[in-house]
Amino acid sequence: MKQILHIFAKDTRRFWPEILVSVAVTIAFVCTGSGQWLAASSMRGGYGIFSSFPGPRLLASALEFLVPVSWWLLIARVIHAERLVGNTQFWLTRPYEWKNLLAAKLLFLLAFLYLPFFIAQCVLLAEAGFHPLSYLPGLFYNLLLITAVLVLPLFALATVTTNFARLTLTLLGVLVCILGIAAISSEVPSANIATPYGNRISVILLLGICAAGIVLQYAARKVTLARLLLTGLLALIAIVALATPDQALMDHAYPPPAAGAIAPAQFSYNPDADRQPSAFVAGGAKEAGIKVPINVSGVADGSVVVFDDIRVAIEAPDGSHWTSVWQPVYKEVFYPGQKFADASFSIPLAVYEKFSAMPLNMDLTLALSQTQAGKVTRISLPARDFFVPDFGVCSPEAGSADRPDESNGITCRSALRLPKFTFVQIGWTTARCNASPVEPAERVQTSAWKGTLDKEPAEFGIAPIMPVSGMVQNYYSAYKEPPHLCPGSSVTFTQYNLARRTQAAIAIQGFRLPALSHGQLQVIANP
Amino acid sequence: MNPVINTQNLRKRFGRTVAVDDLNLAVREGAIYAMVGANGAGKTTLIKLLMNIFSPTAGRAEVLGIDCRRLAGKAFNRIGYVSENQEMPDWMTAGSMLEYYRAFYPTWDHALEQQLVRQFDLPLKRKLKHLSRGMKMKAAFASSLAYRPSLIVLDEPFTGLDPLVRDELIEGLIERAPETTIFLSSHDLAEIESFSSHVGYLEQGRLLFSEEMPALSNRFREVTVTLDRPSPLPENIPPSWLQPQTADCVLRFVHSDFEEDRTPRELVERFPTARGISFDPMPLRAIFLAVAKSGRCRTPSQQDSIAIKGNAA
Repeated sequence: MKQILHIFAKDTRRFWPEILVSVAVTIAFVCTGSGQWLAASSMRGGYGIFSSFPGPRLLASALEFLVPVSWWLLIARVIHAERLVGNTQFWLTRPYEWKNLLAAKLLFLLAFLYLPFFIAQCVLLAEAGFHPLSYLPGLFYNLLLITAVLVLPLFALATVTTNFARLTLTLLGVLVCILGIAAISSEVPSANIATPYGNRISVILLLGICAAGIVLQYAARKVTLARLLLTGLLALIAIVALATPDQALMDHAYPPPAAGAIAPAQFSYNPDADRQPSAFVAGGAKEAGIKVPINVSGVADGSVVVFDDIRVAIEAPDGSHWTSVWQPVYKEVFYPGQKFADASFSIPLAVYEKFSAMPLNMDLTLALSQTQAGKVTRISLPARDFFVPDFGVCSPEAGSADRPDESNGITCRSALRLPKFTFVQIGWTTARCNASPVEPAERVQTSAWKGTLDKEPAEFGIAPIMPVSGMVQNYYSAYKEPPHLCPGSSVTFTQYNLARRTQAAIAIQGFRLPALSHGQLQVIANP
Repeated sequence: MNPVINTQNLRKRFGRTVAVDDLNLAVREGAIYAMVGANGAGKTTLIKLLMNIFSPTAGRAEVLGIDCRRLAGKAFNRIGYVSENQEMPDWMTAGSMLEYYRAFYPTWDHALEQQLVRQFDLPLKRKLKHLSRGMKMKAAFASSLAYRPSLIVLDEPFTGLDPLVRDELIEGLIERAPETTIFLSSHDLAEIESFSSHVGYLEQGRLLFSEEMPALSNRFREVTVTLDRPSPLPENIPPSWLQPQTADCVLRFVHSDFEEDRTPRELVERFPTARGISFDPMPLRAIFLAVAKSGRCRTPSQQDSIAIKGNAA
């Protein structure tokens, strides 16, 4: 322990300017970060410094980027102080115990990287209206993700490079590789499937292999082996990104229904005159988007079924067939009593052209999440911020200059992750808030689904506050005059909890791919 | 006495280059062992193998009874290492460096540190990066002697230093000699000769000889044979004759296997008409040059002749 503290003290004395810069960047990030949601909730109807000038917002974004940059500097400097590559370093022939040296470096990062960042996160949470102690699991989980994605890879790269310049060059090389993998993966359909496992495999690989590389370097200074290990990590991440076993992952996440099990909903294909299949050009003119009307029934009261992903298998009379990868459908929700819905998917244009002229047997497989209504929070809209348990902190959005006493809607923010899957209902009125005499009023209800069914306590991020985008705002379309949201209006948050995930199948016989339209408008050729 | 340094068939390859080749070496406790050899002979590689800075490709080496591959951490409490190309914590002052190292060594002798600081006239408040090469070397010496190591390993410690600094360092080293073993590589043969007890010669990674300094001095003689008439180089020159050359009536060579009782007699028998034969002792520098120059055109039998079997120092 004495040696650990001795090396730590030496590094602290030496790198106080770097520490100062890193802490200053973190403090600036806290100062500008807290201004963002304060600006959103306190400014009235689009006037005020934050809405007029993008400067502070840009500064906040720049500082959010600069925080990890300052870590990069800090990690590089402190690791290279006793660098592990080379044969002329002063410490190699001194009685340094490798475990103590590694522990001293970790202590340094703990003191000057993790601690300031943790404090910054707590301050930002508190500023945003969240009690930090209630979010400790999320805070630590986020630190784990930051360790896996930023700190450990930087640490590992620093252990296999000689100086800051080499580390920077290596880092640029790694970034180019990652961009390349991302570019290639965007062309690989199976790489885009989002399972509930998220990027857990990559995170585990990053944590495990980077930690192994670091320990290997400190224990034995096997530079070539450690470099091979880190190169292998990049290759493994590429493999995971490009060759995701989507079927296996989906079958694990959404187990096919057991024989005799009650499905969360029943589905069938039953087109009528008003609801016909349609097709349009999509995916940069490389794909055909197909929309198939389906009938829905059997959604139990008190529950909703979320339609997460779809897979389609086509078989032609000549025996030729094609099966898609799992495709996301952006969380379509089926309610109790709902009868109709659409199943949309895309197929490559070449496949469309091959199968468009013949009747097909088509199997649609739907990945479904059945959810059960849980806690309901009813709030009489206050004039200021209000806290919604398991959701976040919401604020009435300031009304326009001519209607300062009412709101345009509500804006919400959540801590460390998107809120739990929640149905938000807002009661508007057609009467002005402070009309005198009192006007006859009609109630207008608007609603939205917000949040996620994922259970992780935090999402990877430098900023701990997440805006809940697309909250219900002024309802313009059906009324000549926009309705009004007055103090005291009813706002209801109904939380839905995941009950189970499963698959459902729809078999369609003799399906004909519909004629292709361009940009949703059907092109009719002149006879 | 157990050897402080002991290598068995030690080998180090860098790609296709063999830097140290099947090296067997034993350095006894208390010795001041100088390893000499031309540039690229493998001296620094050997030292870095001994210090576990490099890993051997084959063979093994022990330092203070510890396998070199395991030499780390506390084992360096007993070893002082100074190298001409070793980096130093340049951002520290000489004083803070000594203070920093002090905490690592349980045997650190503060009084000795003060003595070394005075002896080397170290400016404690100046940063190492602002010190001259000589001053830096003095600081490195002070930081490696103050804990009274059992073994001091020096890699070209005197290269590029002025004679005054060299003398000061050697003086400091000699003062420590009674309580330690010193293993050093150097090109400064005159200095080495003045205080080394043993010497080894490395050539292309192979240890050509390793013996006590007096034995080496006794073994090498510059021989001058004055013949009765001008003659060409005799045929069948023994491999122990290095750099033989004739000029007019004079034959000169370096005898690498000289024996007081035997060699004069053999030469008289070989050159019965010679008008005179002289045997001049050689300084280490001359021996080094003779061996090095002859190495460029040496036959295997000559190599055997130069080498001394069972080269334990």
